[in-house]
Amino acid sequence: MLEVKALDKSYSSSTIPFRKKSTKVLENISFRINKHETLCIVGESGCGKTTLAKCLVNLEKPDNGRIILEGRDVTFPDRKTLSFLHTKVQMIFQNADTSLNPRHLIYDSLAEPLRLQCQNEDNVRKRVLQLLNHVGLSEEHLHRYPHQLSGGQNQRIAIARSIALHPDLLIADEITAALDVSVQAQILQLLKTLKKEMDMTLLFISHDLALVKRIADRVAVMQEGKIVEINDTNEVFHNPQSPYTKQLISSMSKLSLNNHDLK
Amino acid sequence: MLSIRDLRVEFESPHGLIMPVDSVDMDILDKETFTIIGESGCGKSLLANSLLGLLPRDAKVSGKVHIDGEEILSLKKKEWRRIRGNKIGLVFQNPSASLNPVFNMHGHLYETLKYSNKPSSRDKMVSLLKKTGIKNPLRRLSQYPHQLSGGMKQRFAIALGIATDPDILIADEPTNGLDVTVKLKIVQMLSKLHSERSILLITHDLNVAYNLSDKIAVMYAGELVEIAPVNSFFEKPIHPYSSQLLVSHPEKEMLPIPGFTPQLTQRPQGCRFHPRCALASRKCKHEHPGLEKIEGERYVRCFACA
Repeated sequence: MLEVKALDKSYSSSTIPFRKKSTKVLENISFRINKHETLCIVGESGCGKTTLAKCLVNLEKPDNGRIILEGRDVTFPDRKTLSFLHTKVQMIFQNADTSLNPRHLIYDSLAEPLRLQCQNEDNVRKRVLQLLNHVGLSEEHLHRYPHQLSGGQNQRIAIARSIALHPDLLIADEITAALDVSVQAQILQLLKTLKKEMDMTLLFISHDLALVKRIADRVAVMQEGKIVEINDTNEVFHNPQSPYTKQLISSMSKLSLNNHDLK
Repeated sequence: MLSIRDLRVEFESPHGLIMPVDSVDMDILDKETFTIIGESGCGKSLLANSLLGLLPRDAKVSGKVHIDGEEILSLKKKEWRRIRGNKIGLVFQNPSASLNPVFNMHGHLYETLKYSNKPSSRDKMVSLLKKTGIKNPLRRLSQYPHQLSGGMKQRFAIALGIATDPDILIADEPTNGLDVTVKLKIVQMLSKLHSERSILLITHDLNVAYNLSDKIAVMYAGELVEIAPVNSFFEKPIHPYSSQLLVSHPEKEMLPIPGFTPQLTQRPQGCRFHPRCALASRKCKHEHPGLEKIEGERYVRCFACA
C-alpha cells in the first residue's frame, strides 16, 4: 500500500551565520506497509520516528528518496496529489491536549476536515455525531473546549478527527505516551475496533515495547535515524538480530512484571 | 518512621469544596520503599507535596503526620525548613522543569546544602554525583541543565534529593518520560539507594513499582483503596480497581477498565469505584467503605472483598 525508498532527511541549524551545520535525522530509510497490517516503529526518543511520520504526511520535506502510495509518487506532491494523500493517509499526533486547537469547540475541530471536503453543514453535523459515537463519547462533549476534557477524551477526539475522511492508512504517533495504563488500554481497544470496522492499515509509533509486542504484526526498530531491524513481531521479540534490538528487549524484560532479578 | 493519619487536602472551588486527597492513613517503616500508584489526577502528587508543606496557600490541610514522633503539619513556616531536606527530601517530577536553567549543577547543590547547614565541599558534591551514577562528575559540576540529557537530569535531581541525607526520600514520578534503557538504569540506581533510607515512591508505572517497592498503596479518586506487600499485591490484587488496573497492563491481558475516572466535583456517592465495578452491590451505591485490615498486612477499601 505504501512504500518508502531510501528516504533521507537532515535538519540544518544555523547558529553561526553562513556556516550551516546539518544533522542527519533519517538515513536511507526503506520499508513497505502492506494493506490491513499493523506496522510498529519502535526506538528511543530522538531517533527520528516522528520525523519519519511527518515526512509520510508531507508535514516535512525529505531531502532524498521516494514515497509511493498505491502506485502514485507522493514525495513532493502538487495540490492534487496532496489532497489524494490526505484523503488516504491521516495522522494522530503525540499529545492530544496540544494538537487540538484550544480555541475551537470540539465540534469545530471535528467538522473542519469535513468542511474542507465542501460538505454541507447538515451532513457535517450528522457525520460529527456519528464520529463521536464511534469513539465512545456523547453529544454533551461537542460544545466544550479541549481543556474541559481529560487527556483520554481528547485523544478520542483526535482519533475521531483523523478517521473523519475514511483514510486507508492511519499513522498513530505515540498516542498513548501521555496516558495512564487503563486509559491506554481503552484507546487501543478503540483503535483495534475502528481498524477492523473501517478496514484500515495502521502505522503505530511507540517507545513502549510491551505495548508493541501486543498489537503489532510487524516491527521496525529505529536507531539514530536508521532502521536497524524489520521483521515479524514474533521474530523480533524472540530472535532479535541487531545488538540494539537485543539491548532494548533485555531492558524491557528486566523491568517486566514477571522478572525477579532486581529484587 | 513516618505515620500519616486522616490526611485531607481541600480546596475552595467555584463548584464548592473539593477534596483531592481524602482521609489517607498509612505508615512508612524505616528503610522501606513504599509506593503509591494511581492514575493521573488521583491526588498522588498533592499528597507528596502536602508532606513538605509545599501546597498553595488556599489549600486546607488537616490530619496528623508524625515523623519520628514529631507532628509536622502544625509547624510554622520557619520550622518547616528544619524538616525539608533534613528529614524529608524531595525529588520533583519532571527535572527539565524543576531545575533552574541559570544555575549549573554546582549552584544547585551548593544552594541545597547551604540552606540545610551541611558542608558544601566539592568532594562531597563529587561523591553525590558518583553515587547517582553520573560519570565525569568534576566536569559535570560546571554544566547547566540544558547541557544534560533527560536521564542525566533525572539522576541529578535524585542527587539533589539525597544531598542533605534525609531520612525519607520522596520521589515523584522519577522515571516519567524516559526510554526503557534509561529507565532501567534509574531503577537500578534507586534500588541501590534503597538500603540506606525510606523512600516514598510515587508513580503510575506498574513496572517501576513492581521492581522497587516493598509495599504498594493504590490510590483512586483521592483515597487509598488498597495497601499490600508488593509480591502478594502483584500475585493477587484484592480491590476490584487494583485487579483491573493490573489487567489493563500491556504485559497482561490489556483489557480496559470501563468508564472514566470521576471528576473532583462529581464523585459518586457510596464507594467511589462502584459505577465501574463488576462486583458492585446495592450497599456499594449508598455506603462508603472504610479501609479494613484483612489477612496480615493487607488493607482494602471494599465491601465485596473485606
